Amino acid sequence: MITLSGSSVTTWTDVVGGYAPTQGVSGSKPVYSATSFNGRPGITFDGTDDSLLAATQPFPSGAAASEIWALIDQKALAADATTRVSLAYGSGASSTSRYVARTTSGGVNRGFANAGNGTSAVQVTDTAVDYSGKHVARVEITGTTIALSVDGNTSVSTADTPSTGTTNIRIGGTLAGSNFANMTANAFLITSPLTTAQAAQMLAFLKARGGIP
Amino acid sequence: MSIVVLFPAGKSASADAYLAFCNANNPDTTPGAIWYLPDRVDAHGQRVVGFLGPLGEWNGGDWPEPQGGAAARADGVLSTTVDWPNEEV
Repeated sequence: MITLSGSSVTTWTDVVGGYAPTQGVSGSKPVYSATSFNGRPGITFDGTDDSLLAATQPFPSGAAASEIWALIDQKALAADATTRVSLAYGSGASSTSRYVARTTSGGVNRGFANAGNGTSAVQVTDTAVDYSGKHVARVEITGTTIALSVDGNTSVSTADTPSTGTTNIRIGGTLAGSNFANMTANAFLITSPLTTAQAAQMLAFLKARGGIP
Repeated sequence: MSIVVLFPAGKSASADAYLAFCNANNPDTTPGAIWYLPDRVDAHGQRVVGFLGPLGEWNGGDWPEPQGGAAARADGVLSTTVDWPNEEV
């Protein structure tokens, strides 16, 4: 559910928990279109300063397990060296937050994820998929590992005991207000750990929604 | 904003004046809306204010620059990118 000023998004409210990331600054509001994502609704973030911020975050923190799913149309060019964060939650810097993002490696856009361990960032970079255009990203944080897969391809993982804060959640950038995403977003989901069957259903649903083969 | 105005470090007063101009002409009808945060500074010490004008893409499309806008931002330069501080890699 969204609240608009014209076609600019003031609030994008979570349909399950009612959490409401918002943007009170006119020039930093992303833009809604009913048809901008595979003919379905999408919210476009310009990569310069657009984001939506919730002042609290109720999702799994500390080392608690969670998954982050993102259905986005990633628009940053491969030549853009800045990491672009689609959704982040936790506290402060990358050492105490979790996020799903896009980076560039070897001149190719790649999916990227982080769940900091309290001292430093712990990050994984997908190497299977060119992360340009529409994709489904799945970040699995188990409490002892972080794994990322894009479009259901083989995941890349590393050991990680996260130490995630409870301060806030931002769509379109880091919690500190940087690394703004250049994307059109259709859906973000933060869940408890899914079973293999549940994850398969989620992936199929999001790929169908996004028109992703 | 897909376009911003960057004001050199010594032109903070000009940035404030431009922001005041944009707030006075803000097309956003949300109650209490402000055009842009007053304390946004890029990694090079330049004040950053969202551009209120064509291709700024506020509200999903071109928005005409209010009369007097060009003069109000004369001390700044238009930019399509910002190097924000504290960017993570």
